[in-house]
Amino acid sequence: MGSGRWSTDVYGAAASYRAATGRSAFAYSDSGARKVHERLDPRGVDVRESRDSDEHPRSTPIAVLFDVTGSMGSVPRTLQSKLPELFGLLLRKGYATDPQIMFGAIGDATCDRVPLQIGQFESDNRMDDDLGNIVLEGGGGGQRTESYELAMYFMARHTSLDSVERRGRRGYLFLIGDELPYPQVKPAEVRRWTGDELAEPISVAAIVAELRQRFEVYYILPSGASYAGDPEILGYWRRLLGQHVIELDDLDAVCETIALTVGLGEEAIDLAEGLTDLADVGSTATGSVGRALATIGSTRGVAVRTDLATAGLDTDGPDDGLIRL
Amino acid sequence: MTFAEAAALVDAARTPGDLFGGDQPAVTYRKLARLLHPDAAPAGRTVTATAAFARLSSLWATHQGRGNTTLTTRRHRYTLGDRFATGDLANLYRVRYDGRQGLLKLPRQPAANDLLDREATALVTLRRNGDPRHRAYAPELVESFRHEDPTTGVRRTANVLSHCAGLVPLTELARAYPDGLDPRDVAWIWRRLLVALGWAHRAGVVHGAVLPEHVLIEPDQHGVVLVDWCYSVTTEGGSVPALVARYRDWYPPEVAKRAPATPATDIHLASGCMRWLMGTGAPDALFRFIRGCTQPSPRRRPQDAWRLLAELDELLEKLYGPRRFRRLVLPTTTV
Repeated sequence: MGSGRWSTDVYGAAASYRAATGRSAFAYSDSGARKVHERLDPRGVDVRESRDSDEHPRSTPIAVLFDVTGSMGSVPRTLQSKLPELFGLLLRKGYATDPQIMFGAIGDATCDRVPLQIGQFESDNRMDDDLGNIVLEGGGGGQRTESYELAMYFMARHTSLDSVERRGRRGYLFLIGDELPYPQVKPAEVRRWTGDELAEPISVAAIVAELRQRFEVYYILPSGASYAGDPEILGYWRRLLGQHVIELDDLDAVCETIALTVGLGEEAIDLAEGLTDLADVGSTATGSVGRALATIGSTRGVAVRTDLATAGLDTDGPDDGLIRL
Repeated sequence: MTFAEAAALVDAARTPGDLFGGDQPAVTYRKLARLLHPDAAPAGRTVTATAAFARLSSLWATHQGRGNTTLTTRRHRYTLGDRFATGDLANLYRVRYDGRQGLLKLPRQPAANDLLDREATALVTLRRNGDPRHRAYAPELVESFRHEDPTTGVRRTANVLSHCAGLVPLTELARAYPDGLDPRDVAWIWRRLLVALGWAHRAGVVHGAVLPEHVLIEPDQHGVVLVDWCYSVTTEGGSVPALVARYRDWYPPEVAKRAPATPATDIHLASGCMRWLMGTGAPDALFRFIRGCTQPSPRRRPQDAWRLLAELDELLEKLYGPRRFRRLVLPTTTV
């Protein structure tokens, strides 16, 4: 996956077509679908992969998974209208080389019909199709918990990223929601929704630790969601992810926030430069984004750049005598 | 600044100072790098961009201290020495900083970065949560930083560790005593190892790879240092991320099953090392003790290294009487 080119024109054309015909961008969901679209079905998937290619030699995988249960109100639809811009923004500003974006949705595995929807890493308009095919649950359990842990399990165990394996650069995973994960990844749910057999439950902390081997994991709590600003929910995610928790008071700024977070992670920009970039393109979201990213921007260490061979450091040696589990 | 202006600027620069002599060299570098990166080059200018970008990278690297074999991070300036060791997944180099000795550990494959990250997390956790009296049982983390290759964009996690001379891995001990070590010599190593594990477990760290190469001893002072924390688990319910292939059979079953690693995992591995060190002539009671520590089900094994140490002490007293210091002589190091 991840080949092909993304074109703003194609996206624009698709959007105006939908507007002209009065169809929602969530046509699949709005047409009454209550089953996961086959492109987004995690069942029986070996891996969702982000690969380097001649066309995209240095892929940067970026996954955006959002909560589609009722507590999120109109947030999923706002996200849907904003997220397609993300790719163009990343490309235009050079925040990341060869971005490949995956969209997915999180529901509640204890009561929803479609608790997990996971697209592919794409670098063309297929990502927009994935977004359009997401079923909006609108239900949810009403217990302030959604199955984030199931989504994190899938992302930890069913993704394969060249950026990590070849270049030691982690991908980016953004979870957008307003609730807590369940405390454990449960074998029965894993079997039902992915087909994997698990011998015993996995704690959320353990699955986050595993996930972080591949992704920089961020949680975005947008305003307009039921539990926005809830100290218990923020506190829980902060204990789990440290400073990678972003409170976002302007949902319109979601793309910019994600783009800048990636740019900071890639060390393509510092926060001040990123905010200047935003102002340059006429964004009014610099205040929100600046507040949201202040802690991330100020604490990040800078990579040391030296040519290893010239410094007398080799990376040759025997093949790693490891068996990865 | 346009692409052409940036390319001309880099072309005209004779020394790194010409480009990076200003107040914010890193900002200058990033600005130029963004303009000149071959991926972002205007149509038909890829060749110019590639050349200019390479020159920019080289000038930036020189500016950062390359050429006189030092590595400068935010916290230290390391003078690089020769290769000290080649481990399972990383190469270790001697470094000097602030008049001290250290070891720079660099993974051979960038895909192993997560394991270096684990080591850094474990060593920081041991410092923060562990009883300070036992700190000598693990190396100190001087610094963990990210290294990026300026041309390929490959990133590696590098760990700098404190270095103490005169330590010998159990593998060397086994080579010196091919018929097995006297159980009374094994006894102090075992006791110290249990202290190291008890200390780490109380701090919330499971080592995950207590294997002969990773247990270092200081023969004269009866010291033990547990090294290579790359396989460690610091999360409740977390599992060991990888096996050292040549020791595959030494691991307890929960490791390959990706089931949670617990203190009982380390106790199993440590007991295996001790059994391997002892000659076949060791008392049956010791082998029985080891069997009790290496049960396949983690629930049937001892769960607490400190309590196991007390049990071991009782057994040793029964077998050998009150403890006395025994000098351990390594034939290879006596010359």
